[in-house]
Amino acid sequence: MKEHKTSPLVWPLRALGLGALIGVWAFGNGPGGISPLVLPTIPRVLEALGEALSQFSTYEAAAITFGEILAAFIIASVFGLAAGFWAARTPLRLQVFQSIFVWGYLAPLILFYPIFILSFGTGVGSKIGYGAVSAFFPIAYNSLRAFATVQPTMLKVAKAFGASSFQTDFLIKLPSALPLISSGVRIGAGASMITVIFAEMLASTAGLGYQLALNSQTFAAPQAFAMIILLMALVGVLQGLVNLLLTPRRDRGKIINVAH
Amino acid sequence: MRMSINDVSVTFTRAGSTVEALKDINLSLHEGEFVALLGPSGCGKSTLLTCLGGLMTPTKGEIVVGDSVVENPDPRRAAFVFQDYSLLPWKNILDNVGVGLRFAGVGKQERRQRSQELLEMMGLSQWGESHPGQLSGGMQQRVAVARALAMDPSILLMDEPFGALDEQTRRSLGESISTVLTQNKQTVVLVTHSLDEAIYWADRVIVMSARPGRVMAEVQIRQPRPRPLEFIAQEDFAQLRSQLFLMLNEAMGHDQQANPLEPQRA
Ligand SMILES: Nc1ncnc2c1ncn2[C@@H]1O[C@H](COP(=O)(O)OP(=O)(O)OP(=O)(O)O)[C@@H](O)[C@H]1O
Ligand SMILES: [Mg+2]
Repeated sequence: MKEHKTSPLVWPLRALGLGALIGVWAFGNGPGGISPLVLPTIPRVLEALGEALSQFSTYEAAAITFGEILAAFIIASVFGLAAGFWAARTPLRLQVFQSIFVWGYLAPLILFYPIFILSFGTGVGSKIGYGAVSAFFPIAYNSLRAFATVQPTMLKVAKAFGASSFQTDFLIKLPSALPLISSGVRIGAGASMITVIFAEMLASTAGLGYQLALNSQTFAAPQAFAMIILLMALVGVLQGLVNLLLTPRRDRGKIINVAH
Repeated sequence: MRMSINDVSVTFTRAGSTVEALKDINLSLHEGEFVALLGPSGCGKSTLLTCLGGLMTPTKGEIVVGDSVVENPDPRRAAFVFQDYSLLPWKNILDNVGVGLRFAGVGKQERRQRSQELLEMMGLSQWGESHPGQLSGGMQQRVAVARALAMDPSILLMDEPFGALDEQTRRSLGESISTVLTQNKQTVVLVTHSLDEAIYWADRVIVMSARPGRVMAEVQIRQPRPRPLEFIAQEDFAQLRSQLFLMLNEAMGHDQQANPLEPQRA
């Protein structure tokens, strides 16, 4: 494990990146000659953003999207962790479920989205269900690998020092599986964000994704861009929360490279 | 506590083929005795130690400690120091030392106090809040010794505890730990590949033959413990060393080419 102090260059460099993005955007609008129907000008987008932020319905939509993602993520984490733990307990289950989880992880689950619509309707339920299923597989798969690959030495220590099977599970296996589980949870968080927003855009009646789809279908480009900015902010907040959840207390405030 | 190993044999069966790892081992250790096990690689030293600690049941024979037969691991009877880095990386040093006490349900207060005492004994008192990754290999193994001693075991089982360390570190560790062990009056079984280590530490050195492992010879080291480092430079030491060297060479099957000090590792 290697620790760094955050370099004083980090924030200036980030600002520079943002500046470059804005520069390219402004160039596209002006000398670049991109149609404002495709790429609206920055002032128009900021105007639309201000307008959206002054409307209560925007907050309502954001709350719906946020809630759907959060619910999908929590359901997937609880069930994924439990499934991974359960499936890693015997060699037979391991063989059976490992390939199922990998399949669910890699398969384009979007193919099954119509089934979610049919069973849960176009409301909030289908988004949560679909998001939870997509996030479940990476979490379950990584948890299964984590529990199945606990170092034999650790198990030997547990046995030699008199751990009960309950103590072996919770004081040895769980903590030593944690790094791999957290990378699964991170992937799951990403999956639930993508799928929920995408599902909202495809078929729904509420949420920021729905607003975005509506705006782009009606060629309201500035409004669509405002929604994109709001969605990015929402995703940023969610990622921050996940990071906070997954970083051990003693490591907070440091950047750490963990070699796996 | 007194320990006797009666007619112990171990045969492994895997995928139809069998490996005879130990054959008819008979040994007895008296209380407080320090025994070193020497032998060619693969002769069953680790297997024997695993049986002594109750982590494995011999195919034949039994191990008796005090007046009960060893059937399960019990860290208060026999505690292990493993070769590989076996500290729990997510726990700090203090909690690592106290992990056996934790499993046994000892309260936090008492656990921490006992662990701190042991760290002091090992000269690591200021490292309690650090994590294993921040310590050198030698320090980590001292922590592993402290973790075993925290259980106040009657017997201490050490499987090449310093195998991964350089000669210099081994020597200085040897001196400090040797003192601690003598004070604690533990019965100790140490598996080692180092003749020097065996002679410097042990009351008795057991030489095992190549597979299937049997007890081939044993040598008493009469020098009282703990021994000063100068012992290594004495005439007796050199004599014991060459005696053991020849025995070990014989154990490896009279192969004059082979160097018993550099056993082939599997
Ligand atoms: N679980 C097992 N299954 C099958 N064979 C085993 C098992 N454990 C050990 N063996 C075999 O038993 C023999 C003795 O192994 P052991 O590890 O006890 O030797 P050792 O004396 O400790 O060797 P080294 O000095 O290399 O550590 C070896 O031939 C090994 O391959
Ligand atoms: Mg061994």
